[in-house]
Amino acid sequence: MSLLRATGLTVGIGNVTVCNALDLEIKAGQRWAILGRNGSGKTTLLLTLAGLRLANKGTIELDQQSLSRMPRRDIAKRLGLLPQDNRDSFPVTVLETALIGRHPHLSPWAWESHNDYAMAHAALTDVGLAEFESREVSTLSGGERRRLALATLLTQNPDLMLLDEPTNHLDLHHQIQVLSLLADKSKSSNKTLLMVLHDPNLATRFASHCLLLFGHGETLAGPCSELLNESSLERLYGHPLVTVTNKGTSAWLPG
Amino acid sequence: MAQSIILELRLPRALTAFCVGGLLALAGTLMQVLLRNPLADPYVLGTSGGAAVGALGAILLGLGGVWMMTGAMAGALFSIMLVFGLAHGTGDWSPPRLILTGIVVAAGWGALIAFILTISPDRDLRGMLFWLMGDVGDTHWPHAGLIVLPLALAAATLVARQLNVLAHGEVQATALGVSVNALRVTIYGLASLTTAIAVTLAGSVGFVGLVVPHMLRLMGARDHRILLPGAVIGGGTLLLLADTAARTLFAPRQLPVGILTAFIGVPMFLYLLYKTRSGENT
Repeated sequence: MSLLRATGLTVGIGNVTVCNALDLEIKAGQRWAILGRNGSGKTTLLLTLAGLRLANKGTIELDQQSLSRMPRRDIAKRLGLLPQDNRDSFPVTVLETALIGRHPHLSPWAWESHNDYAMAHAALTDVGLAEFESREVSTLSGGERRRLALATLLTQNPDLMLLDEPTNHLDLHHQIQVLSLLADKSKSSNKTLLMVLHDPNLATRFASHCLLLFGHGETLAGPCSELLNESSLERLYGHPLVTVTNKGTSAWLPG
Repeated sequence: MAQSIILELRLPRALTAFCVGGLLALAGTLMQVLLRNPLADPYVLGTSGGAAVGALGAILLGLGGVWMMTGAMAGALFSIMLVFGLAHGTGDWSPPRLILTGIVVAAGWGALIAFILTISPDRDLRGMLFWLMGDVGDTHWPHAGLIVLPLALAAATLVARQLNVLAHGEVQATALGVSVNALRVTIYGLASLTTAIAVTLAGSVGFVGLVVPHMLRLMGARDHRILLPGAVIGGGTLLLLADTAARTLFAPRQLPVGILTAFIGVPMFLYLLYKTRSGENT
């Protein structure tokens, strides 16, 4: 049974056709990576699948329900988004920021309960920001803000997480740490991931499936083991690659 | 004698001051989250000016009472729409553009008010000056404010948690289940209504909507469920104190309270603007 299903999906932005009559079926527990060149429309597609942007054609179903007909609040209980950029205009603390993830789960007049606070604490601990709870967000570094945004998403705790460049601004250690955390959540709590990534090595390490956007509407979707290889990635990025193998694992380096 | 001074002079004036301060601080807080900009204020962005022109227009046409309020409301709505529309670039409203648009629109309203005052009969002039400076000494019993203030506060508090989420941006708010457009229309309507009522009661009192939420945020009230009622109480208290000072500092001469709020508000506005600029550089 598919958690998110796109049928005949055509998405365009400006002169770019992101995908043309794309059929995509994402099942519970799968971890998808979206790969493509700059400007191929990865973010646009992700926002469309989150219901934040209208598709030119086609339908999107979340849990067999038409996404465009669902109330925003119902969507937010099941589908969460890590936006590419977070900008806060007002002073706010780390804990307050993580806590807004509970918004869709609370009735309009309710205040956050102990349980909601516990979820925010746990999420902040998961991303290594437990010590930062009372800090002002404006005093955080770019990478710390990124992890805070992820903590907000984990506090929201949706079954389907759409992540726009979750490793943006993160150092090497935190890239692996964050993606391992997400993969672990996926395996232990059957969470489904769909993430825009820029590094095919991270995709092949942490994703089970991938969606390649070639630009001009051409797409390929399927298991990483079938789709990710030197020739497909060279075509995807329009750049020669070198495959390096060490102790049984291989990685692609730009040539 | 003392009793009648309190009941007929001081109490209505104190209530008017409190209501106007509360309404303006509420309007300012709502406009700030709507624009995601801590510099927004009904006076700075020309909303008060628009409301004043609407009310004066109604008076000029020989209409009063409800029509004056309707005119003020229409003027406030139109003015906000004008500033939002013109200052909207791609994505969020950029602070310099928003402030510049607001100030120019406010100047335009100021000129229109001056024009209307010039063509009005001389005997009305002194009473009408309060549209330009803001004065709570010239109103009657503030029925409208006493009714609208608690209602507007209740309505705003109902959407307060949504405002907390909206403060993190449109995309994040939508992704967390907020119907952003419906919420914006609600805030927009509430901000216009509260500004319009405040202006019909006391003319264009400036900077209360800017100063009060900022001070409350500094004191740690960031949650709109606390910030909104806090702004009403804080704004009401501030204007009450300011008006008492305006009444007594140069007694028996009484200053319009708008002069005092400007003395507090202008330095704070400049400081905030300066801080916004240095924040962009980091």
